[in-house]
Amino acid sequence: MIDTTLDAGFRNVLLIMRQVGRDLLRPAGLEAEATGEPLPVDHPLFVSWNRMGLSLGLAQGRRGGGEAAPGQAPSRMARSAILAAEELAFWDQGALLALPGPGLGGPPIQLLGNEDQRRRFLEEPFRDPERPAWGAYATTESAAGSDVARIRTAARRDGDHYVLHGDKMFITNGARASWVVVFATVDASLGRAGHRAFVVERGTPGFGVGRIEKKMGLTASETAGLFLEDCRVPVENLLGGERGEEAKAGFKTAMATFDLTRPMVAAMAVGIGRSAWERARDLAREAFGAAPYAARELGVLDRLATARRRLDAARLLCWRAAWRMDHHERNTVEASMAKVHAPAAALAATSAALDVCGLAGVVDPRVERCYRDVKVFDIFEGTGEVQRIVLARRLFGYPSEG
Amino acid sequence: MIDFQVTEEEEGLLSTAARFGEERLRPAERPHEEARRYPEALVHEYRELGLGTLGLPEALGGAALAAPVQVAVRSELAAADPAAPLGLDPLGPGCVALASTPAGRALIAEAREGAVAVAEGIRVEGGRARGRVGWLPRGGLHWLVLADDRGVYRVDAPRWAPVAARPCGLRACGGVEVVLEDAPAESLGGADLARQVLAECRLYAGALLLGAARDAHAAAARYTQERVAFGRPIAHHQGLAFQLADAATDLEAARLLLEAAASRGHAAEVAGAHAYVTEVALRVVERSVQALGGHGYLQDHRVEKRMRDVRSLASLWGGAVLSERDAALSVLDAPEAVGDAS
Ligand SMILES: Cc1cc2nc3c(=O)[nH]c(=O)nc-3n(C[C@H](O)[C@H](O)[C@H](O)COP(=O)(O)OP(=O)(O)OC[C@H]3O[C@@H](n4cnc5c(N)ncnc54)[C@H](O)[C@@H]3O)c2cc1C
Repeated sequence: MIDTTLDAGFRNVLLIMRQVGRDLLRPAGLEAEATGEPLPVDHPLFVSWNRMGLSLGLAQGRRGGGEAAPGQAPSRMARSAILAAEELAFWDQGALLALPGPGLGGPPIQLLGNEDQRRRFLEEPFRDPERPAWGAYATTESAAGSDVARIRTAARRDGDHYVLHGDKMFITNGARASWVVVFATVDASLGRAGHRAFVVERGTPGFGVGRIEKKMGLTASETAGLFLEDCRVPVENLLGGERGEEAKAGFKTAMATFDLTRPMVAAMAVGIGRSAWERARDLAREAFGAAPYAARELGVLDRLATARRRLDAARLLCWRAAWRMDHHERNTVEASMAKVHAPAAALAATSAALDVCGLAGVVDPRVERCYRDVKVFDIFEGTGEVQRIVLARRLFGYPSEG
Repeated sequence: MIDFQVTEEEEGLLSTAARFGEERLRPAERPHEEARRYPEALVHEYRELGLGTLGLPEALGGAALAAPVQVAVRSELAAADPAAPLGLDPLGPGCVALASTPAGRALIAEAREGAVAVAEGIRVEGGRARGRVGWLPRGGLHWLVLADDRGVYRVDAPRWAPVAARPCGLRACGGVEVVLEDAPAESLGGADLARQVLAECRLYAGALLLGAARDAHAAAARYTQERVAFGRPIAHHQGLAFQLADAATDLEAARLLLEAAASRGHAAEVAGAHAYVTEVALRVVERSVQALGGHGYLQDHRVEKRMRDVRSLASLWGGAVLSERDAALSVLDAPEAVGDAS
């Protein structure tokens, strides 16, 4: 019916990530907090991470869509990825997002790319662990976020090239990336049917970096504005076919990666919430001693207990979404439920932790940083409202154009 | 290993419960409530199916099902009629824990009408109990088991009377009021047993709360996709659609939390899960009535009854007030959330 224990394999994932988190991510994250800047590209964290040869499981989407042949043996990939995501986020979310690798740009190339593209973009840049490299994923523009159909970055065919023109905003690792998967439209009047994805390589003339954003949190992670000014991208860098139908089918496939990334992102939120929570719990342990408790102490304990059960429930939603994926069952509903629930539970946990810690919490980076970091989890990878629309469509026949 | 697999055997049990619910409970839900009792034939049928003794050891005539499976089966029954498990089970919850002691086994072997109550408002001192339990969802009482922070006590032949007033919900269970004036109370065990008894009661209540709330939500989801206002089904107005989506998410979260707590068996975790489930169920049934507007307020619709039944369920065994307290008092010693040995 239900088993929440970790077997040796999952425990191993957890322990490795715990060590990486404690030894590498936490110090790097605190460093970034101190400077107020994203971790520089030559930060030793990145080579250390590369040398460990670990991956976050993001790039492992299945080609040809989410469904599997019946009877296919269950995988452990999604559950491992979820455990790793929570544990690494526990130590430092900003540094986690800054880790080298293809990032969110991995899945579209993995799923839509041809063999040559996968070699050029997923293998070659990442071959040498001593030279960290990043990929990035760019749909969002200043005037188009949730409503992806509104993107205005234009792509026009010209001989062996596409000419891209427009700007992108909020791109994680966008300035340091060797390449960025850029979504552009060949005909804005077609909405999503006009969208095409291009791999734009750094150094392509006309492709440049705008502002590095100053954010509430996730300081270690770089969030960049990008611009494309009549930027000529070779046809070989188009992902997933030129014709509308082909491209549309491709994007549908690419959307299936949300079924993994949403629970992963939700699990990261849980990790941040747990981080602040455990710090507050430890302080309360030191301060309160044993029962009987004073009235104020009881109030504090109640806040901790309330936050704890919400976080535990959120984790179970993430685990269940991952378990379904591992068992090759459709999990879009479960993934969105996790993504709706976890950010709110985690924000509440960080806020409760601040209540518990009093004024000392406001200047304790292990607590207040979590509060600032976690807010964005209700915003990126599909806002909470967008997740509710996904759920309403699947469960209550909510119309698609809503 | 992180696993959510429902085995074929469990699937079979769940569908038996669901079928019994749809065929035997749901159609007569209102008449049973009106009569404030279940007919003998139904009681018999229920017990024949083995639904009344899910958790008891086989030696005592039970099915010895694991706690999470009990939760799921009772949820299924409660979806069709939230009062049914309490009204049809020969012995109320707490008995699986009691069966771990010889005195408790003796009590269960008598198999006469009894109930477990939390001794709120009752003082047990020097082998004597004093106080009043305002309402127990039973038809009669040969014995009463009281649990408080210190231990568990058995009171034989307590003085009881049928409750005259109509309770808010769970009316089909009947209802008794108990008055204890210096009644002899024999100790069955200490604080540890009390915690286990209470945990069992909370899992039981939690299962019924979940089933009832899930059913109310399902009714609201169906109704709002048919009812049209301002040019579209009301479920397709975003304000309502988001509430329905939240209810679905919260119910799933609550179910997982309760089943996980049942599988792990830490009393404090069960208390936390019970508090969580109670909060979710109360919210979901109220929102479900709201989604039907004036119609939801009428006895024509089951959401009306679910809202009352859930409120009664939420008051049993100290309710969320007590479970919130217990969860809070043990939070500093709770096992680590991930990676603990258990
Ligand atoms: C730190 C950070 C990193 C990011 N990284 C990336 C990245 O790597 N690549 C990338 O492409 N993007 C990235 N993003 C962008 C992110 O995905 C968008 O911010 C997000 O999709 C929301 O879009 P928006 O900011 O334009 O808000 P809007 O879409 O304008 O939304 C504003 C508000 O309106 C609500 N809303 C919108 N539509 C509806 C509706 N139909 N019904 C009800 N409410 C609605 C939203 O939920 C939100 O509350 C990142 C953002 C941040 C903050």
